[in-house]
Amino acid sequence: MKRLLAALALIFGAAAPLHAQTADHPQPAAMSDVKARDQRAMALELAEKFVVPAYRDLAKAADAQESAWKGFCRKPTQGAVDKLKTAYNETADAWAQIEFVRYGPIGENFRYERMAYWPERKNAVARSLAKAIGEPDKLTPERFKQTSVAVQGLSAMERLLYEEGAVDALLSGPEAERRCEIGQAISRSVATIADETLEGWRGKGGMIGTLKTADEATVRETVSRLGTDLLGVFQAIGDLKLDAVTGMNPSEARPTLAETWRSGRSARAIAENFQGVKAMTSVIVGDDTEHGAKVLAAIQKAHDEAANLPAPLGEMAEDEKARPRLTQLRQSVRVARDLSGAYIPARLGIVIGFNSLDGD
Amino acid sequence: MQIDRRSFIAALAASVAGTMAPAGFARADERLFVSSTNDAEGMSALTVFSVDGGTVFRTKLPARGHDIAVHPTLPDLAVFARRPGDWTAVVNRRSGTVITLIRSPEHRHFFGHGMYSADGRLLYATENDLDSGQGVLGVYDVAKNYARVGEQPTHGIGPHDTTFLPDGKTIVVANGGAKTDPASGREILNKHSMEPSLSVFDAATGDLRHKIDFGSRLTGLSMRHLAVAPDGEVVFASQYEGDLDEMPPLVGTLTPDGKTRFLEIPDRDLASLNSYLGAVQLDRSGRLIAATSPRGGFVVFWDRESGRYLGRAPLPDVCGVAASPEKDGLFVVSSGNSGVRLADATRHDVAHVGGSDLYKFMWDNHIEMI
Repeated sequence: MKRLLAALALIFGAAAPLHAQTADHPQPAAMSDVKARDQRAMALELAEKFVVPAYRDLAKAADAQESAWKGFCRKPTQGAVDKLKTAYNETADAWAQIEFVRYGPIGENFRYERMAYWPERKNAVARSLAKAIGEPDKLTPERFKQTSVAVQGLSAMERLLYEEGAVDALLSGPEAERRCEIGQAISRSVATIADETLEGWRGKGGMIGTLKTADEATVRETVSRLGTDLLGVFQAIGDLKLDAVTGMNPSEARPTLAETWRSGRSARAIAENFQGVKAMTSVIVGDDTEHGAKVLAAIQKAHDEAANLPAPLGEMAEDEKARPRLTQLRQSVRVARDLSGAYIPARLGIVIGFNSLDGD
Repeated sequence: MQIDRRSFIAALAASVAGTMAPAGFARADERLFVSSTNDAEGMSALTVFSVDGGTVFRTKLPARGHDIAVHPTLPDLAVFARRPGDWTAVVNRRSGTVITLIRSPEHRHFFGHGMYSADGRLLYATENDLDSGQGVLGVYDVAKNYARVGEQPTHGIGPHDTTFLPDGKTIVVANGGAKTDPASGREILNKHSMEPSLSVFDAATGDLRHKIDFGSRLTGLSMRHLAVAPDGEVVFASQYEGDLDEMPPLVGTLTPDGKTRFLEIPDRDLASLNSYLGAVQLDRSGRLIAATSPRGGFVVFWDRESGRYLGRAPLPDVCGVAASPEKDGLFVVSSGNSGVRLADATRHDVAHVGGSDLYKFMWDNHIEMI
């Protein structure tokens, strides 16, 4: 028997366990002494203290953006363009804080894709925006909703404001009026999506009402999906927002793959992502400061490093001297991911998937 | 490291973890399914379950298993190690005990997929020839306790899934096109010069009938998974490893005479798949297709006959998919964090199932009906 046990230990020790097998995406062992919280209380608290406030901020910023466009179209001046840009940045900031949540009303009716279309594939935003500019049909909200998802949200808005020559084209010339109409249509669309999503959570018949009386399986699903969304952000930031841009060396850098590179928001967007991650994690931690403090500190570190980058990601990636700071940020994202990956599932009492991470 | 084969099997055989179905769990007439799973403690297992009854048994595996080949007549289930594993376990589908353990020979490793011949005499497994970097199909003789009796080239590199055509004589292999070596883990060594292909060849002679190369037109479109229809058309599902700003279609069909077509899907739906499909199956009628995207968190559906895209249904971390025997257009799907569900191609939605303990496990990439 002893020999068998020894053989077992040898075998299962030698055959790599799950987390060692996925060396590219390690799944650290769960923190063993973390106390799981009641799932219904957790789901409601996440909804009320994180999700709804975040969508409320987004809806507010989106309303302000819609007003700014109304004002601009009445009187298109350089000063009004500055206001458009401020409103865009505030809306994009608010979106970045809740962007990682795909669960709930944002996942319905292509709201997520319509809000922002990134990574942009097949040049879809440019193509659909050019098409919208070229076709002089009336942009009613109903009709605009039927157009390409790529033109309906913040990704197209960024081009309208920041692409080379965009401001001139807004202020004067043959396309100015049309560009104004499109800007207004996008701002309306973004505000509507934000409102619908917010109401889908807090309104009558919305998620919060449902969660109060839902069966255990539904509650578990909510907690599980929000938890999964939260842990997914580290991968998205690491792979898509950082690695794809930095490459292995300066000559492999791809500045135009950076998110919102036109408006120079690539680093700021990551910082705002972490702001949202921190807000959600704080709710999950609750009074468990013993374990939670470590996790929150790691998220804060990644946030601070992103917020303090001196230049856009692409520019830094092309500069051998600046790259170490990106490497440092990448490492901090990993640390935050590993600590969150060990803590969040244990605290939420859920299993986290892995098919989406390792591939085959 | 050399693992002592006999104690390995003894250890595995002694490790059936579970619930050996007491009467009352799965109905006698209820179909069973099999998948590789992991649990919260990190234990990998081969899990046999029914959709409404839950787990029948779990057999401990030394590491993550991948797909499973189901013997046409014997109770044998062959579970292949996830790549680049060096073992395939043959498990009795009734008792859950390990019948034998196949080890890959030197300079070969398994890629995670394989199949039995129609007469049940042979087991085929996709493997990597580490010396040449080429893909091979290892051939194992069931009657000789799964001794390795030969191999055939897959006519490509990085083979993944494989299937017989309905004639039982012709083999199709999805060659992923990516060069890998266990020495560097799962890293793609030829990222910018991948050679994805589909190969169709004679099982008896190995003669190549067709080879469809995607590399020249679609570098990086790695062919991964296959499903074969009763009329011999093969559906393939791929993963795109190329430029982030490109977005090729991911699903297509291959006719027995070597003609391929890609199935259409609106850009906004395609974008939501994150260039990655983890599995593909046909429904019980062979007409409707379901493909899963764990990275996008969607199951997507097509009508194979018309080529029409039917829609998508959300399920996070979804990957495993098998035809449900209950009705046309219905699929059993599994997820790493949301258990097992039923996905409906015509309504494109997912529904909860009765199997009460199924949500506890992290379901690995594939499900097969047994």
